[in-house]
Amino acid sequence: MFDRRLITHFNWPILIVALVLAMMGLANLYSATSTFDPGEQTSYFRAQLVWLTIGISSLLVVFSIHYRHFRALSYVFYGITAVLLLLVLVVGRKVAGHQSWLQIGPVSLQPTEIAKLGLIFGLSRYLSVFRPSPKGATFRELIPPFLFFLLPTGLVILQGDLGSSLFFGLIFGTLILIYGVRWQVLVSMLVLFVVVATLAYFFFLSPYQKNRILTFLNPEMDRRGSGYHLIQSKIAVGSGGWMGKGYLKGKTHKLKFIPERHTDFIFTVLAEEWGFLGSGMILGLFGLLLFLGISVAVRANDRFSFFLSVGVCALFFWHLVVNLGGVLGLMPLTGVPLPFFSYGGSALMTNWIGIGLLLNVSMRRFMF
Amino acid sequence: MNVSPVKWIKFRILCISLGFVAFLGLILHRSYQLQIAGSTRVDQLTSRQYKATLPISPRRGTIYDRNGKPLAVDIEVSSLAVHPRQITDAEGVVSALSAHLKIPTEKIREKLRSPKKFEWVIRRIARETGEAVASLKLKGVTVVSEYRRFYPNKDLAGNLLGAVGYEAESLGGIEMALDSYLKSDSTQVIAQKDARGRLFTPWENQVRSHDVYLTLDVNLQFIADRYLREGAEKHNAKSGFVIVMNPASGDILAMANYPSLNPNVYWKYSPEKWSNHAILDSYEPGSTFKPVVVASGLDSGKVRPGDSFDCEGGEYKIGKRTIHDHGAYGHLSVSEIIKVSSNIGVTKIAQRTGKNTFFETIRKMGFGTKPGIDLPGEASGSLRPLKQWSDIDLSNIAFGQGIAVSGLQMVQAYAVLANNGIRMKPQLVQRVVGSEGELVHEASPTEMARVMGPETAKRLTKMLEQVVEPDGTGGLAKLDGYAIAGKTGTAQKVDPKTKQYSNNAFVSSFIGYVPAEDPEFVIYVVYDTPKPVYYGGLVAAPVFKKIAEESLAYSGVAPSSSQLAKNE
Repeated sequence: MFDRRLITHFNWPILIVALVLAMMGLANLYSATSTFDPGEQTSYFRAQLVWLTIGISSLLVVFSIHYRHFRALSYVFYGITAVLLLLVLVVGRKVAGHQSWLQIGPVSLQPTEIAKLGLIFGLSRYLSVFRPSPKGATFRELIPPFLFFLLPTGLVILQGDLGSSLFFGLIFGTLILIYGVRWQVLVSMLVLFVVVATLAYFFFLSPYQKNRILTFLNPEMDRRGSGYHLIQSKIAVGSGGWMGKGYLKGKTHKLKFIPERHTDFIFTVLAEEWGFLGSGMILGLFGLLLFLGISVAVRANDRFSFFLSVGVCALFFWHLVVNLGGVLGLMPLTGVPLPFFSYGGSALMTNWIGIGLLLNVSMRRFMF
Repeated sequence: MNVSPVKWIKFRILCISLGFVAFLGLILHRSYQLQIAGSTRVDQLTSRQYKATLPISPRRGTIYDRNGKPLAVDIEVSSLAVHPRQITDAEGVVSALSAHLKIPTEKIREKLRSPKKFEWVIRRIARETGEAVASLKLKGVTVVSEYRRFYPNKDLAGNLLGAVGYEAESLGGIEMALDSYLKSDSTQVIAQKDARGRLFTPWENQVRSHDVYLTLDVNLQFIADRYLREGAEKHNAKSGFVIVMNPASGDILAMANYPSLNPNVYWKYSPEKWSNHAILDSYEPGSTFKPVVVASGLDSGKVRPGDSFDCEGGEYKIGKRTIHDHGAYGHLSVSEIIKVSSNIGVTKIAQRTGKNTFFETIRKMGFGTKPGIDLPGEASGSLRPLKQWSDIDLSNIAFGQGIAVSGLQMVQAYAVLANNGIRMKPQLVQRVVGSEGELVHEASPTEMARVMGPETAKRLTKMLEQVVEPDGTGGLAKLDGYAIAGKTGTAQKVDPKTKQYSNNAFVSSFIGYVPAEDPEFVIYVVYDTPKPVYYGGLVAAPVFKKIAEESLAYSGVAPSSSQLAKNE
């Protein structure tokens, strides 16, 4: 059962980069929650510390079991996460307008985060089994994977969390592109997306969601209202300068000008205190992590582990882009956590499981 | 997998990777735009958003003595304000504040009805009370940290230090003289404002001012203060002061006043009790001035140490005026003239010395000009121009009438005798230190003039040592183990109504330095209108002795062997 190659082929760089990011994230969270009101800080920090421990434990579990066992259980995982999403609609707790929390004893869980992994498993299994036609997948060949994507997306939209639902689309899109599609299919899917998005904007989006898009286009329109988040985050990021104000010295978050400073807007704290150099370094580390992840995928042994690795990379990548893009005013705001940095247990656990999967695939590429 | 799909997959991977890189690059570019390129605009936005100015004064610098013991410090207190427009639960605020602050509810309600955005409820309360209110987190109530001036030694050196008022304005003394150092650069406190409009005034953010180290020594000040008061109460003096100075450096080590001021509760004192008599008052010094003319005569060579003068049996006519001595003296040596304090003797010495030389010496010793320690209201005394001097003026000034001096000038002059003939600038401020600990100003001993040769100074010292012999006027100042050079003074005061010398109001004093052979301290003790005993030798000399004795003991100056041998 135990093989020396498990050790010699252990992908240390990925683990180290992930650990460094996690430590920085923890330190940053400590600063983000240190306001002039005592007490607030320790509760968030401790909870995150507990989740970090849980996350790293799940990593240990995930990478010590051969991924072929996961392959066998892929659809089961997918199914479980779908059930969780369904459950959340029935017995879930509402926080900030989203019915996305599941209370299990003392633990609050956000099944949406885990469902992202479920989709990656489901799609990886399907795409690895059914190969596309030589010139790329046709419409008909894409119908089953499309259904894989549609189910969780629909459930999350029902929760009212449009931002997260987008993620299933992004993961699906990335994996399909790697799978190979005919260009006609690609074009028609893009057209379809634009049409659906336009229709959604006019018929399905709530006023506040429309506002987010409008304020993204012109944040000064409503400084105190819907534009407030964005202006504050620009102020925080902008006051960092080259070197930043120094650890624990940021004002925007300390004086509570940034709402959600410990979750979605965590990057503003980093940028204010560590400046352009600090935030650039974090981006560099994320870039390195993605590069290492893609290398794992390229050298993967079989189609399943290949898709799985690409899926995990896509998961990190799109979180990074959507979170930072939103915070920096490059795209409309969507409530998406920044991997390893934002406060939140489910997301942190998902991140570590993702790292565990990459390590797993990387380590066992020589074994059959 | 056949060859073609693998290639395809590699191509697609490359595309995705490029996509990753492009997105990360875009985000990095955006960071640069916000953080570096556009940061000035952001700075303006932030300062408007985070800062609120408060109409309170920032921390004032500390005043220390020469050894770093605090004399005046700012202590942290809390002040409470309301923002009437932000208050939603008015009754809750009223009852909470009333309970914590023990203020009637109606008074607080009145504040809440104010149309202003900001209204003080109470200022400068104990910090614990302020923190207790702050912990209630009442909406619309702000607890601001402020400072209050505190003088840990109460009325010790209070008249010298002055006081600080309600709005942190200086009200006199050192506080006023050094206000430009002590007060903060800004007149307002910049508070930080959070998103809900609550204010925070973290101490570390407040602009700090300079700290000042005086030349005073708290222990010597305490000694001077204690015996000054004791003597004043014993002899029912109207007022009095003591100055202790180091003659070699010019450092003022103590400056005590009676009656004293406790600046912590300055509002309880009437204006005259604020006076720092040691530097504010001008008065006729009387006999303590006599050594000046003797020094002038000896140093110019016009009078020789061996000369003797006819003291005319106690009565001597100059023009229409007759000068009297306490005793009917015949021929006296220069030394004896000082010892018995003969008015006729010093008149004769002055006549031989001549007005020009005498006037020159008076000027060189620093009389007629401010000593320049830069305290508000520093007196320069009054010295009549030489052209106006008549014969009787020459005689009067020789024994300390017709000239007005300040206490500090007298100390300065005796320090010349104690410092081998060199006049040092009196110093009160030792150094000023900036908020980062940097030295802003440091006083070093400053020579003002060589007034006389060292041998003249030595000769006078020997003569002044005779004064404290049992048969001299200052016998009560004598101290075992230490040679004292000193002189008594009992000057008639001019009655402000009659413009004549009063027969029952005197300025009694004793001035001297110790140990005479290598002086550590010049000590000047002055009482205004002691009653019924008024002789300087009886009123001031014993106080001098006690101050000298304890100061020497505190400073660890060893008794001189020659003095001890004398007593055996």
